[in-house]
Amino acid sequence: MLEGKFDQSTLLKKIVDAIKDCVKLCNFNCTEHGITVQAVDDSRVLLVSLLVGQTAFDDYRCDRDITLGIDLESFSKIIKTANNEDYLTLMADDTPDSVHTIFEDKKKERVSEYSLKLMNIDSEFLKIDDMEYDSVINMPSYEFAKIVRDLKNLGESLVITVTKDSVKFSSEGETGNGSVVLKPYTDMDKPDESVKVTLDSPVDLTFGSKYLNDIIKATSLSDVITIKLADKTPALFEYKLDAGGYLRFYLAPKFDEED
Amino acid sequence: MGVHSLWDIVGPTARPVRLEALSRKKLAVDASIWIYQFLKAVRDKEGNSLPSSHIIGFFRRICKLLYFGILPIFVFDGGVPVLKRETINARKNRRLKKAETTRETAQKLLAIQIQRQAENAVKSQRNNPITTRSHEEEEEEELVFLEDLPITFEKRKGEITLPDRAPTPSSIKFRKQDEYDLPNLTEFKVYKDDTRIMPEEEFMESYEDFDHVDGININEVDPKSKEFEMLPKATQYMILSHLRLKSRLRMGYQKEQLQELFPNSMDFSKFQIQQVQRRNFYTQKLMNVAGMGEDGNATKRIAGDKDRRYALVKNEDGWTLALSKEESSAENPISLDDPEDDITRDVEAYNEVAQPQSRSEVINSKADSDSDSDFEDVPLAKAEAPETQEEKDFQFALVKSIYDQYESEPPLDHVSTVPTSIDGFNQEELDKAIEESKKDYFLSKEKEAEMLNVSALTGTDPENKDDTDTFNLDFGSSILFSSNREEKKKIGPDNTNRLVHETGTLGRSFLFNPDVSETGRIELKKDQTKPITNIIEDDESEVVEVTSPKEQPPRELPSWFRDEVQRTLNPHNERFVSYNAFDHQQNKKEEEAGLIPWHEAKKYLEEHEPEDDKSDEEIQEIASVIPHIEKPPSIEEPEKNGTRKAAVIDYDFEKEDEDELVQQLQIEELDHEILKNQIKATHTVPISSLETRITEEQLLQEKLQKAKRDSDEVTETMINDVQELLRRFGIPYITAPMEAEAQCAELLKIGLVDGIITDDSDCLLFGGDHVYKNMFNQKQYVECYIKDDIEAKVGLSRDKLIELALLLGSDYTEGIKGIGPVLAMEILAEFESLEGFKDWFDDNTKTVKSNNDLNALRKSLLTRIKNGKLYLPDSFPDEAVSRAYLYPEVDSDKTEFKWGVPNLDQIRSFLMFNVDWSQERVDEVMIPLIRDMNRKKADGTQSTIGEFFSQEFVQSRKEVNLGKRMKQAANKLNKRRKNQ
Repeated sequence: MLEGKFDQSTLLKKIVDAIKDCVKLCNFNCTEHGITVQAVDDSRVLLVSLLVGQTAFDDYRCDRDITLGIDLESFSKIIKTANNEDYLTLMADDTPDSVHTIFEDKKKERVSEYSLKLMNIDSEFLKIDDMEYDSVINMPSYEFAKIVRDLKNLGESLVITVTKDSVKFSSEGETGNGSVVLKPYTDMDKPDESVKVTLDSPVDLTFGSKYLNDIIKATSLSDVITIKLADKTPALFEYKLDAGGYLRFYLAPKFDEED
Repeated sequence: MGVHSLWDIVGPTARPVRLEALSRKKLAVDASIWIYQFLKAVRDKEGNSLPSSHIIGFFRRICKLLYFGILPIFVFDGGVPVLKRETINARKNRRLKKAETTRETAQKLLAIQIQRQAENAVKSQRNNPITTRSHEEEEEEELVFLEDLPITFEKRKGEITLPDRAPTPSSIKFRKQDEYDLPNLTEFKVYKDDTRIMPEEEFMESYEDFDHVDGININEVDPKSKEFEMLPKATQYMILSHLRLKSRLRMGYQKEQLQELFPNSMDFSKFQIQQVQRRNFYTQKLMNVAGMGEDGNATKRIAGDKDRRYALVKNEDGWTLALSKEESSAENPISLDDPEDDITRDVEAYNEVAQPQSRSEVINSKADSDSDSDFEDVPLAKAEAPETQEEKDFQFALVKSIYDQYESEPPLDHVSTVPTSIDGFNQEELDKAIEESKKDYFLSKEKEAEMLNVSALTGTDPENKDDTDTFNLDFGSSILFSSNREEKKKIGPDNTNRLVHETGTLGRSFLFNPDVSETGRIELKKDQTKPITNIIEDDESEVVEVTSPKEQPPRELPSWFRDEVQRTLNPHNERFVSYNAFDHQQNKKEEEAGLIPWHEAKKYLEEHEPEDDKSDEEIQEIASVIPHIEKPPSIEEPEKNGTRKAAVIDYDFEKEDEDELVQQLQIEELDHEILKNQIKATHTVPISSLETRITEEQLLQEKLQKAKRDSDEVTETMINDVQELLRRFGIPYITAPMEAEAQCAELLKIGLVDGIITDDSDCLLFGGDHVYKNMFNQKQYVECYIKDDIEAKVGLSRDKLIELALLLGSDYTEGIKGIGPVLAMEILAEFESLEGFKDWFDDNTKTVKSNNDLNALRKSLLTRIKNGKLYLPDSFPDEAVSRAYLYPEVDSDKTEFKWGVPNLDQIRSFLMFNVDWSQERVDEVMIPLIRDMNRKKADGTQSTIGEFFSQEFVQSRKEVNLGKRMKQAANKLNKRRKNQ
């Protein structure tokens, strides 16, 4: 029996919005510690890894590990019907064939209940080891989103070059090229506004713009994005959930043919 | 291909993999069976195979692979292991047999009945000495001309009523009735009358069913087809003789009707010639079908209808062909006279038989009609080839010399060898026959030499000229010799010898022919239908024998010579001409292919003993008379190919597989359309903007290259085509030393590739891993088989897979009959090893044991054994099979592969020339594809997540979907594996 109650429906709304464009179908694995999702997009370049910790719920209980195969598009339509302030409760049996979503208005006596049929989704589970990264960038998530949006107009690829004292985002296309350079900066008043670069060795990686565009859809989940880069390794883009948990994107880089 | 039902067993372990996930992976592509798949399955709307299906098929698949960023390495078969070839052949044979069974058993039964009846008829004939003395050939002869003879008809009608053929006055009684009946009678009915001894009920039966032999409509039977060969001999014989007789009939038309049909008498003559040719064809076939003499000094029936009997009789000189026991002996062999003589003799014979005066008159008139008809045809022959008196003389001389020869010697020295050779070279028989004919042979050789001398002079020999008066040349011989004359003109006097020998051969081969009296005709037919190349072969070899090397004609001689003759002989009959022409082409091809280079064959002939030589020739002759019976030379082809040349293998598709294939490829075609659109969608730039046009010059160049690539073997050309296409795409390909799938496995083992694309489950047995199946199905997912998965989920290691193959059958072994996938798994789980299984089998077959304490499986196996449904051959389990899988012949060269860039212009011109596509059609796919590839190159190729994180496939919710028994077996296997 799974029963998870969010204080506000907003969190789940944001999460689903953030990933439903890159992964249409995914398995929600529910354990006693919370709900995890791991999914890879169709082109198998972007991996989404979500953890909604037990602490993110008002009430949470999960007696047995269960997997909910959910069509995110349908699910998104359901939870959009909820008001932002509503309580949202997810419920499922031990051997579920559908998941129930209940919205409760906090002021009025209004309860809406939706049930979504589950799907049997083949998915592989990638074992992600903790890796050593060459450089780690912490920056405001909206800042990163803006850079990606701006540069993706120029070309299909975005190059992230990290040197000792700067981070350079650049893109090159048929019509021209452009770049944005950030330097480490510390805002004492608003720590979230700071740009922090930790560097072991310089990094120069190329990513597909369209995948980055998928990633920045999670911007609303957190004020800060952490980018971890290493040469010839998928980059990690992490949004931490304030309530507990994270949404991580692993993005495989592009390689030159010669490599 | 592959282990039977293995995919069913390991299927549940497959991992679905997205095509996108294979980007940048180096995959070995087992292309060995692609061409065959395309050949079998890609058809146009009418169901004809397309000449360029292999190119289109490969093009589509290459595009798909490239679009998904896969780095393919194509691996072609280099050869077929002996084991595999044997298995394929064995399986093919077995399947043919199976297909035959039901229909055949019924036919066999009928055939036995018919044979019995025929034997009875022969017996009754033997009891009646008068009948045996008559010349049956005559009876056939008369059919052709019966139209003018109501009287003839009366006579026959009278005989119908008399099964014992004894002439009685009753025939007279029937006269009036006959006059009444006559217009309604059909031709074949008349014929049936002719075979006088036929019992009435049988007659009625066969009359009603003349067009049906053993339930087979003879009009629908194609005696050239393979199916026909598979019929029981007796049925073949019946059909052929019916067909042959039918060819003599005027298709049931009355004279008036025929006149209407053929207002031009020339047309009718042509029609008749056509019929004659057809008849000859059937006669030839008939001779092959009829078993001929073997050992023993008793007479042996060679061929014949129920009312005639040709037998080989042994005498002190060797063998003679005798019409019947009473009539022929060493002293009195058959003499081959000109038809006129025969007819006279026939008439005499009839006179003896037929007491009533009216009857002999009938026969006489009939004989007249025969000769009339002979003459009737002469004008045509003359018109075709007007002769000068001198030529005529020459011909007569030839005829004379030939007849002299056969009159003066027992003509059957070769007859004894031929039947045995037909019987599949029965060594024993052959030896015997050779011994018998040895003496005769030298004798005949002498004669031949003599005859040569005579005939060399014939052109001016006055003695022979005298013979002209006595000879009544018939239509047949005139044609025959007009052809000879033709040859003579072209080849020159030097070749006279050869001509004579040709005639000699014809005459000799004619000797096996039942229709002795039809000398002229048969010779003619022989000449017309016999592939001339073979005559030439005969000629040449004989020329060599007679030691006149200067006469050896240039090698290209046969073609024109033959064409010329062909034209002279058959200016009207397109069918036969083309038939021969085809044959000729084939022969030429064979020569080109180096299969039977003439000089080699000649050497061979020279080296061999004369006897062998002779029989070889005869065999060749017979074989080539019916070229469709002879298996086309392609069988030998694979063996002859060089080792590292991509091999041409006749893949053995089951019928269902084939259907499936067709379906699959149709789907694939759709798939390709989708892909095309997909590719196009990614590129909105108009295609036509940047292209260069393919010029005429380039196409010509293409033609040149194609010609260079073309080898004589069809499928080899295809392989070359495909490899050329790959070259232009910049895709590496290799030819395996032996089997492509084994080479793929090796490439994976030495780390040159990341996976294997194949639908052949053998690959797993060769140690393949990461095998991608259904790569070109429309499915969203490709099935990926991983060795560890298979081992973990169904408990099958490579060794166990090989054991499974031994049970289920694969390309290398036929497997054990009656064992399906489930039982095979259970056996593997139950017994430690196949050796253990075999031991247990032996124990239980050789000794009786109490089977109380046996488990269910063993009990059920035991029941099968007892019912004869399960049998393990002594050689089981065959070590050779395991070895073939464990140590295949592969190339372990570790040189890395390199991928080039598709050359758009070259691909365009290649497809435009070879597939006849327009440039737009090529560009439609190629331009976006290349653009896509270029972009990837410029931007760098997108890597995938899977390259970095090891996958742990979770199937926690979905158990491997196996059947209950299968699951039990798999668990058992797994347990044992873990314990080891």
